[in-house]
Amino acid sequence: MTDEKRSNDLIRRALRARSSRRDVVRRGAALGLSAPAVAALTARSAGAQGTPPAFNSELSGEITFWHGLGTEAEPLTNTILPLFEEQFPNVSVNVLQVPFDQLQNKYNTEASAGGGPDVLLGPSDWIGGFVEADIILPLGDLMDEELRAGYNDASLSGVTFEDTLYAVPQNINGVALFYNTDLVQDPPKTTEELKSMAGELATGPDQYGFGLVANFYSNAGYLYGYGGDVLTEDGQQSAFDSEATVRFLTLLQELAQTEGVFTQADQGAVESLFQEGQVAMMFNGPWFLQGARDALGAEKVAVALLPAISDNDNAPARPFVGVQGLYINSNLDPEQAELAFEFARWFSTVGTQILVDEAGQLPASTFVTVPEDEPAAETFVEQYEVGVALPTAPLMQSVWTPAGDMITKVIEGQATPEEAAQEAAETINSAG
Amino acid sequence: MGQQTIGQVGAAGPVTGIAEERRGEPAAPKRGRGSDYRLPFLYILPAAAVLGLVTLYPIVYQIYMSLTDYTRRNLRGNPPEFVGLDNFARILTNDLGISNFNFYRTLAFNVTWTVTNVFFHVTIGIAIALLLNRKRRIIGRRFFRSVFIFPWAMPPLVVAIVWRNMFNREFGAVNLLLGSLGIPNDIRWLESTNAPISFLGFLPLAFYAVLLVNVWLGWPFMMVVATGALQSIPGDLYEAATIDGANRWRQLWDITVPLLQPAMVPAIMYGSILTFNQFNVIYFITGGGPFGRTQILVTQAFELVNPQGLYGVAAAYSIIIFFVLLAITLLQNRYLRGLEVA
Repeated sequence: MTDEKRSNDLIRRALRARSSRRDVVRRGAALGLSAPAVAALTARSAGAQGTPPAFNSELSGEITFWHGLGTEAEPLTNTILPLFEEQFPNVSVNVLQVPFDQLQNKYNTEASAGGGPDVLLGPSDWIGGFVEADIILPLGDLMDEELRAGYNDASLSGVTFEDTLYAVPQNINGVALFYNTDLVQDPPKTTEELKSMAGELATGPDQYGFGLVANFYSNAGYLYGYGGDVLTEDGQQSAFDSEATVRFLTLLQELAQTEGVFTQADQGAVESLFQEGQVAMMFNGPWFLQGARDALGAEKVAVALLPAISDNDNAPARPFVGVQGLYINSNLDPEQAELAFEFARWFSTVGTQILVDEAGQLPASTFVTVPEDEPAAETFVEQYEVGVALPTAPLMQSVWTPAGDMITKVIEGQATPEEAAQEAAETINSAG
Repeated sequence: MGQQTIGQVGAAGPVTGIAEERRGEPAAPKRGRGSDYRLPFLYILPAAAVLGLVTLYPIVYQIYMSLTDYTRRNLRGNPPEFVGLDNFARILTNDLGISNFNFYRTLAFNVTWTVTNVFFHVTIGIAIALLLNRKRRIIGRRFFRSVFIFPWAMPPLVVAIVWRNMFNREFGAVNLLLGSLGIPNDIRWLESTNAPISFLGFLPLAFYAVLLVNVWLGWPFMMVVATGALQSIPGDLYEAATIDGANRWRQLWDITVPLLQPAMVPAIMYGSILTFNQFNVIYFITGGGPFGRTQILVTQAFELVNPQGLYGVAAAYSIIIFFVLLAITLLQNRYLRGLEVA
């Protein structure tokens, strides 16, 4: 890149950041948060339509916040946190960005030893393990009926474990089919179409029709589409040892062997090929929208429903629908917990509005509005309507690695689908 | 008189003094316990205290942990339950509920890894030391000697991460290089489960990749040791051998190799233990993958703690590693003592 081009880029980025900041103020006003009148907005009556209950901007102190966001970390540091510190002038926020695949373990270890951050942003399948380890605060006392009314029901039930609410829901997420409109006009409706299109789109040596991320999360929709499940109903055992799992693994094996399909266990590797335009389609969630749009241009990234399952009467794929929640550390004293909760509540409303606008997230708070010109949102919502709530049982923390190995072993030809399913079930069960 | 007196005093004083001391000798330790021996103990005390605190206490605590079901739950002070030798039994029967955990496969791989690495380190190290030590000097000898130490001087973590990137399937330098030479460049160095050598089916391609890295990393040390030893071999031995009609080959085997031995043997022992526990290369390049087949004992032990959080099991595991290393060291000592006698 030439220096001139780079500096142009920088200017453009700076302009974008500034305009989005203006957007924020505008939207903030819509939420009842006009910038100069923080005091006034906190005094505003809580019952008002479309306005989150007032924030206590008098609070003071320090908050440590951990998250595992990727490209979404940019609006977080550039826009959201400065805005928070503007509205809460006596509170300072220390942010730590942890690679997502290490976040759960890092929190688990540090909070178990009595430390850890005040607030953690993480997905809902971590709840069971965290509750078992007694490292997150139940929010019963902090989050009364009135506050709960400001979040949609699906998101609240997503962060509820054994009838207790354990997080402030922030966004709802799950996978659908991403495609590059330069390469794909009509996205495939069924898995058979997906296979044939993958071959047609593989026009060159480094050109692939479909990028298969060989992990469990991205593809679990097909396990449920075949009628399978991850855990038994009581959440105590693995349910992998089933006919549905075998059919699910067989489908993935066929996909991996299809011409024009690029298979890789590393999500980032497939994502980067999609961003380069070398992979035309992949399964991914709203968190990838910003990264894909930045790389390809917003108009080239489109989202469609996951292809229906051809050899199961075109049953829809039913992906995991998870909730990203803000957890409060149980090691905090009540005063600090209150401050942390206030931050979480602010982040899930005002802060999330920015992530919705800039990164295409789907909010959990009903006070956050999804822009009308966001084309992906409708598709995601439609997809999640047939989805399956991400399980929260403690055993979930022992699922991902064996389940991922189960898939790669079948794709690599190291095991038959039957053997792999059985082995994964045994591993998960002996961990529980 | 005066002289006599002086003489007597002069003679008697010291003499009786010495005699007294001599006579007193057997009794000295008794008396010394009170004064003479206290002081050395005082000198040792600070070091002993520190050592006890940072070495002895953790070891004892680890033995205690290995007999309990210590997990993350116990980090905040609630005591773990005593489970006896259960952790050891679960490790040795591979009953931990962890994907791809197999103690015996890991142990076998670890031994293979160590033997192959040290073999290449030593042969390449000595060969290059010999080349650089020839009488007819290679041009730029000093330059090569310092450049060859480079890999050894770099931080292992940096080396590991650079190599991992080089083995990347799409963007890695290794595949790009192969591609530019017209060789198929879609090799999945670190993920493929295929064994390139069919009768060594338990060694996936990733093994050869990490072997390459660790050989690259390890031979300069052996070269340095060998160079030092070569330079201390007197030149007249070779002259004498030449006069006796010994050819180059004979000279290598009958002079160079035996005289290298005293320097190389400790280096090999040191290198073996270092390679046996070569955490960085394995953990940061393959992470034990694919399917735990390049896991060595220390990386597996680490993973028992992070991410599994099984502190008790990990303690038991590292005690097992200790005994494995102890056994290897004893065997090695015995074998090497045999060499010395010969």
